[in-house]
Amino acid sequence: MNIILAGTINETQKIISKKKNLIVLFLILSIVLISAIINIVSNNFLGANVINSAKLPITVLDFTMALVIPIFIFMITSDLFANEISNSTIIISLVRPVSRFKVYITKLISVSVFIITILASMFISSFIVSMFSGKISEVFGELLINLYTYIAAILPLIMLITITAFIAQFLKSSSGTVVFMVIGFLLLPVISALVPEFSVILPTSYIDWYQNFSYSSINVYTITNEFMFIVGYVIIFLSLGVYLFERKDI
Amino acid sequence: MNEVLEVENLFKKYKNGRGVENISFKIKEGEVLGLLGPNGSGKTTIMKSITGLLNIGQGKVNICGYDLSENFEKAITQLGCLIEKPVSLEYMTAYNNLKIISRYYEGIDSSRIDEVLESVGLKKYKNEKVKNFSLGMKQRLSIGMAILHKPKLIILDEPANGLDVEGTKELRDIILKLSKEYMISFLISSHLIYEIELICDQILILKEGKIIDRCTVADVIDKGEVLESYFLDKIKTKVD
Repeated sequence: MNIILAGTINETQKIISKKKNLIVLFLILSIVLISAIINIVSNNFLGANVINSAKLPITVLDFTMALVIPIFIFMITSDLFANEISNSTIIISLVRPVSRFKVYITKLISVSVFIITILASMFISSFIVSMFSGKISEVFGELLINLYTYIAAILPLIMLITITAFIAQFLKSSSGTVVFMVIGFLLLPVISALVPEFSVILPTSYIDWYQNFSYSSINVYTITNEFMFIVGYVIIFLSLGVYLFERKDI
Repeated sequence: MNEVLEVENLFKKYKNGRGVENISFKIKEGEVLGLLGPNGSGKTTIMKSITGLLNIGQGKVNICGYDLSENFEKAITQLGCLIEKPVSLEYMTAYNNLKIISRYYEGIDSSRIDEVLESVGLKKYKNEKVKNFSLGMKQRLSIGMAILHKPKLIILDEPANGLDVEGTKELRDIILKLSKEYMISFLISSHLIYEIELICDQILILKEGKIIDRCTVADVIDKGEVLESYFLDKIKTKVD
């Protein structure tokens, strides 16, 4: 079996074997269900939807991208790095015929695959429930825009995964990495609000890049400009993370 | 006999100044080499350096003709190990722990996994999660994880830790069988000198990160000495 594929299957198996990850996945999907219930109840009692049914997938995405999915990324990425290093289970992968670079990459790919699976589940489930609480023609009318927006949401999340993996190289515990990342994630937007000049260089400014796709008109300049920043951050944090991981004494 | 492991002028120092220096030795096919030394003498550092877990400052490690730093993936394929403590994914079953390892190698199917579980006495617990295992069972699983891909060299750091008398004897029998029948080489560290005496052909004695003596168990016995007294005499000598 191709070694990258083997490593990715292994790391994904580790993620789905942990009950806490499956519970969080269930909670994320339950947000879709709660949104649909709110809509159906408001439609029956108020005569109108609280959430535009055709935009329900985007509303759910906005809500989860604000904190829930980032925290989930911090949890599973730090589990695969900081936690495995602190309890020495990383040795299981490192003494195999696979270079440290490939171990690092397979961990990032498996987290990305898992997050893409969550986004796909959110999209499909929110699309299905939106058909029950709104006009089917409107729901189908927004289908492509919603789909592009979900696909676009993958890139900023990959940036978050590479940043978390990089930070995990410095911290010795999984919980420490999660706390550090959550504080950073909440604090950086405050800094960019206080000092708008910093906003352009802070990675948190680009988490909502996907929102550029949720409008009927698309601003190509903004999308390209922000895309370059995100790719730049991915390359920088990936290179630094691999460099540190390869030189780490276990 | 071919050399399976060749360590040349290995040097690794930690920030606190401890570590190992000028370590050179070879292990031939089917040979069992024991590392003896007081705590902090550098046994685990040597083993971690050979397995690539530590970045070595200077020196060369050659496994079955492959240089570890230049050809890591080919070199490490020939090696299995248990370092410091039994390590396994506790939230998974014993079978899945071995399954995960099997994906890194060609030709390991479920019958080989069952065979290994049988040989370490865990076949009937294969579908139980490792978190419910005793320390001895975890130790046996780690040994299974080290031998799964039929390596030519196995490194065992304190393999008898956590094992009862019966388990220790079973482990000894597994090591002797693999080395004599399948010509697998072993590098073993243990604080149980009696075990080293029963298992090993050759011994390296370490003190303060340096090799202070190398001998065969047969030579020590021929001199009419007990290995324990021989070892204690050696570590009392001053290191240059």
